[in-house]
Amino acid sequence: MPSSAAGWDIDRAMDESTARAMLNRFGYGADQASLTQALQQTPRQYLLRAIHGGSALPPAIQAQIDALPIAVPLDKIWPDYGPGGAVRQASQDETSKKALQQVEHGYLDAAVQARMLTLANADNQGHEALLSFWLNHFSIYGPKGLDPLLAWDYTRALERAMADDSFESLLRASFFHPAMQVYLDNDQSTSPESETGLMAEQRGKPVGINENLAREVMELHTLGVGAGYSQQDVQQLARIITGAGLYSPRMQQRALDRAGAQRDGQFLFDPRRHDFGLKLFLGQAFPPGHGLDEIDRALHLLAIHPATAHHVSLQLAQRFLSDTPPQSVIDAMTRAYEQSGGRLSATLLPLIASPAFAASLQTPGKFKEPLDYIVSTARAACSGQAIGNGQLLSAAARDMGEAPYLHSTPDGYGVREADWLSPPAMAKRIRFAMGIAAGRTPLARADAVPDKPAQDASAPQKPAWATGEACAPDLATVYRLVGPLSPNTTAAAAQLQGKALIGFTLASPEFMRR
Amino acid sequence: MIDRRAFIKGLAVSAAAFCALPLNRVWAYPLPPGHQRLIVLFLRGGLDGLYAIAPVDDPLLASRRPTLSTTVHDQGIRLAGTGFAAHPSCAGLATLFAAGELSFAPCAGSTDTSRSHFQAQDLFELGTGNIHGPSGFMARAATALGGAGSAISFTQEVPLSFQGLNVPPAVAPLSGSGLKLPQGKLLDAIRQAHAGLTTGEALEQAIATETAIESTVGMDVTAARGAPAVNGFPGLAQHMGRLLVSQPQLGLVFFDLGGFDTHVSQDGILSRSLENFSTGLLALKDALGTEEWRRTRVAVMTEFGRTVRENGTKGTDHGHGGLALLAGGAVRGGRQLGGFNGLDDASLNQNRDLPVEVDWRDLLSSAMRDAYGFDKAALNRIFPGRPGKNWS
Repeated sequence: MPSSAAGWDIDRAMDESTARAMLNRFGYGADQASLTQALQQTPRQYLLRAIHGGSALPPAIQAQIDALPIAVPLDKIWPDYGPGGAVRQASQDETSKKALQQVEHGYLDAAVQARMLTLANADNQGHEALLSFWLNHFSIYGPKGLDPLLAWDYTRALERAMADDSFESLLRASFFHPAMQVYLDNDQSTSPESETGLMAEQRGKPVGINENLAREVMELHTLGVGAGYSQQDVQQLARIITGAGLYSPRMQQRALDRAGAQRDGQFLFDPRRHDFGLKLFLGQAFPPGHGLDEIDRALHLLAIHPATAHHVSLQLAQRFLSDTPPQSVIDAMTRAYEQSGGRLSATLLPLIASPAFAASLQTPGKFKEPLDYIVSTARAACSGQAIGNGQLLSAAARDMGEAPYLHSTPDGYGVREADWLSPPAMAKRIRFAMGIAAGRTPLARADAVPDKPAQDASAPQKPAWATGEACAPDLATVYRLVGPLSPNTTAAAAQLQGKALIGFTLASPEFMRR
Repeated sequence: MIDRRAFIKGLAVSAAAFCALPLNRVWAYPLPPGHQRLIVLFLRGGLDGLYAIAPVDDPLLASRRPTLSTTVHDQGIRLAGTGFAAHPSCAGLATLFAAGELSFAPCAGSTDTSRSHFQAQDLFELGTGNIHGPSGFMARAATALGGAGSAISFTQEVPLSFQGLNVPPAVAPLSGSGLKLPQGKLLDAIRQAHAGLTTGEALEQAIATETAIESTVGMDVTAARGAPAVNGFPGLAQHMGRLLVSQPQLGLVFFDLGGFDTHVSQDGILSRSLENFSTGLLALKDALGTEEWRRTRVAVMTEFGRTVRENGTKGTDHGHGGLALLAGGAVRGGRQLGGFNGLDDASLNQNRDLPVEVDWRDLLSSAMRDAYGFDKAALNRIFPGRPGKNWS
């Protein structure tokens, strides 16, 4: 029992209150199975499994995800739906354009659902919490351009990179994914002096550089704002990364070979758009004549930069420890990052091992983000039952403002109490908790049958996912999964019983925090 | 005046008292007679002001912006006596200008030099010239007006500009599922459990706001029957207007719109966003009605302007000085605020974007002084360190 901060031993198996708090802090909340599993782990094992281990879903949930359109690999749909793809080309009139949009919308909707189902049901919660952190760190906006088709593949790419235990792997996985190229417009950025640029100029349609991705890579993904880089550096990086973009099924393989283009999945580096001139980036000369290799070099420089070590450490500590993490913890993480060349496990260990982290698990104080609240509530209420209503989870996440892939700006969702605690947030959480407790919220399964036509056509019709099978939470289980309540909370519950008491417990001040 | 903290704590003592809550009373901060209303409308993403209201008399405009200036050159609506013209998508703004109900500052902005959206937005919302701090300018202005009861934020969450109040302001999202909380024993118990905590303050404000909004939307249901679904700013502006008419004590209002970060193919995207915005502004005027509009000021700002030269993808990148608007029946409109030195290299900031001639804090403090009669000491507390130029 880590009763005193100094006694925290990350190689001793967790007791129940620590395991429960760990699942809430570095996961999506306790259910009976997760709790049993975490009780057999030490904090170090929990962390290493988060990074290196995959996560499994109940077979029924996995089957549901496998039946969604996103289960088809990208290279199968790209010839039809990629830029200039056959279906896209054929969709010229309004009706077929609309049909194409519906297909794209269906992909994004499926990706959001699949992600929500995973958060709610995965057995390796630390893994999903860490993956969500990186998806948010390298945030994309699903509805933009071709990103509806790419969001799920992007998720898989970041997950694979996470297993490398290296920040640089994640940075590269994000940068070299078409989803990020599309989101921050780099697929359109073209050097005016490049082959494509000169041809465009001759045709009277000049093209040029777009510095959107270059700026956000430095500001958000690596160094952090205020790290001392200049507008000049932004412009130089924008030149370095020209030529990175998307593979189009209309491109002739022979022309690509002749140009020396390099393809990885649907990502394409096209030298015909690249700026081969001399650049000076972060005080270093990038000599003329280099292509894709100078992008590698720039990303490596950014990944091992001390400012990146600090920026990434601070963000991890804010998500997994506190809105205002102690300087000593950030310093220890930053040092570990620098000494290990940006290994995730090395950077996170000083966080987990810190007395501040141990103490914070005894009195969880971080205000849950909407996703933390939705999923932990669902897990507590459905403990032992699969949570199969992905559309309901998605609708709740949208309503509370934190749906996966739907943050429009590249900074990702906030993680602090000030970002989320508001009057509407409280109203929505309380309604959500009450709906679950009352059995009105079909978390387990949505009705497969289409909606019956309403008797009264003017009455608002419920969407199909709003009816189905609810979970049947049991009070003793909910108490165990929520954990101890304060004397004031206990006193306030004096008049309640049954379902009302379950709703109250899920809406309690203690369960709003992790 | 009711001390809301003590009020809420008192309630926690007796759960039974909840049934008889005089909910409307938490709103009872009537503005002193003669006071006016300020609506701060923040356009997030960095609006390209040179696109919306363009210096068409500047001979360099066409070469700086080969594709982005053609429409305004051909079809722009001249703003008399200024050398500027409104893009056709901003016809609503031109109408207000001609009616003497809108002024514009082409080179307005903040002291931001990062050209980062997020840092520049924080700087704007804190209003102190720093990028960190305990409170935003709307929170400090609400305090000067007598507390959170005078203010409302039409956003999903509490924006940074409103952070730092002891009691959160009313937050009324105009989209999404709203506040609807079922009354009863269970809610009473939840309120008691959260009493005295930050979560409790937010919950109490949700209940109070819901009461006020329900009464308004109650009127609305009949009025809007058969009307098209609320969609985009014009629809939201109508709701906002009706709510404000029914709640005259809400003198300080915050609202934000996104979608102005236009790096690529700006023409289509931005003309739609601006059409939405300027039509919405007229819808707001409409919904407020003549009398309310006469005591209304709308300050429209963005975190920064964009590059003077269009980029290689028919868009613009992050810049510095940008467009600010003051609109409303209470403003002295039909004017250009602050200078504009032209688009030649020497007049630009870092040979890239527009300089800032009008500090955002000066613009807002002038509007607040005119609206609320704040004295210099109060304005210094709200906007410390501002240059102090008057833009009334």
